[in-house]
Amino acid sequence: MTTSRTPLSFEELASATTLSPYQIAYFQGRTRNRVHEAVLEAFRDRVERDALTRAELARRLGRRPEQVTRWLASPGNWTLDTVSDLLLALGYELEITAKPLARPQSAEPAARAPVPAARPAVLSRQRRTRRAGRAALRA
Amino acid sequence: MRPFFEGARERRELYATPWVHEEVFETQKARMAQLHADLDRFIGGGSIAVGGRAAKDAFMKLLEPSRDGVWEIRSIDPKPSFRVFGLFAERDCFVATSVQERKLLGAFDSLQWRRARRHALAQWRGLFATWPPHRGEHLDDYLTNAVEL
Repeated sequence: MTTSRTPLSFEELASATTLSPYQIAYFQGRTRNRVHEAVLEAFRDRVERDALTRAELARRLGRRPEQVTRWLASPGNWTLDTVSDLLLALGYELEITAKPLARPQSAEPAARAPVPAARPAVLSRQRRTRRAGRAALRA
Repeated sequence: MRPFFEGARERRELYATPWVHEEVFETQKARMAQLHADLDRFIGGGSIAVGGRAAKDAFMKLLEPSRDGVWEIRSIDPKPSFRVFGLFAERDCFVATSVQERKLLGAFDSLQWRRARRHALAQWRGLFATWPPHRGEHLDDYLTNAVEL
C-alpha cells in the first residue's frame, strides 16, 4: 500500500516561474472546499444551537428544500452569490483574509493533529469572544 | 497519504492503494488535482457532508448494504465526476481502494456498482486478511465533523 508522497513544498510553490496545471487545479479545488467547509460549519452551528432545519433555511431563501440540500451537499455549482445567500439565511457572513501560503513551523513532518473533540473551535470561540466583548461593554 | 501542500492540516488519515496513488498523483491531470484537493479535504478534518439519496452530491456516502462498510468519496466537480471507494480502518482513518469515473459505473446499483463494491472488499481482504474494517452504528462512529444530509 502506498501511504505517502512528498508534499509540495512552500519553496517549490513560491519559486515556480510557471505554475503547473496540476498545481493550479489543486488550489482551485482547495479554495472551493474551504468555502464549502465554512458554510457547512455555519449550518451545523445553527442546527446544534437553534435546531434549524433545511426546510426552514429553504423558506428563508424562497427556495425548494431539495435545492438547499444540494447546495449544502457540495460546492459543485456554487457562485459567490450562493455563498452569500446561504450565509445570510444562516445569519452569518464571510470574514475574508488573504494571507501568504503557510510555511510549516517545523522542518519535520507534522504529527497528526488531534481531532477536535466534539465541535470545531473556530466559530464557537468567535461567539464566545463576541459575548465576552459585549459583557465587558455592558459592565 | 500526505496532503499535496506541506502546510495543510492533517486531522484525519487516508491511506491509498498503489492504484489510487497512480491514478490521482502520477497522471498529473488537472482533474486529478481537484480530486486530490477533495482527498485533502478529508485529511484536513473540517466539516464534510455525508448523505444518502436525497443528497446525492454529498462528499461521502456509506454504500448499501451498510454491513459491508464500503464507502465512497464523491468528487463531482468539475466534470467528469469520480468516485473513490474504500473502507474505514478506524474512526477518521480511511483506506482508499480504488478510483472510478462515475459515468463508467452506470445507473445506481448496476452491475458495475456491485463490482466496484466487491472489488473494494476484495482489496481490503488482500491488504488486511482477516482484520475486519471498522464498522459503526452512527455517523459519529466513523467520522468527526460530519454533517448528515
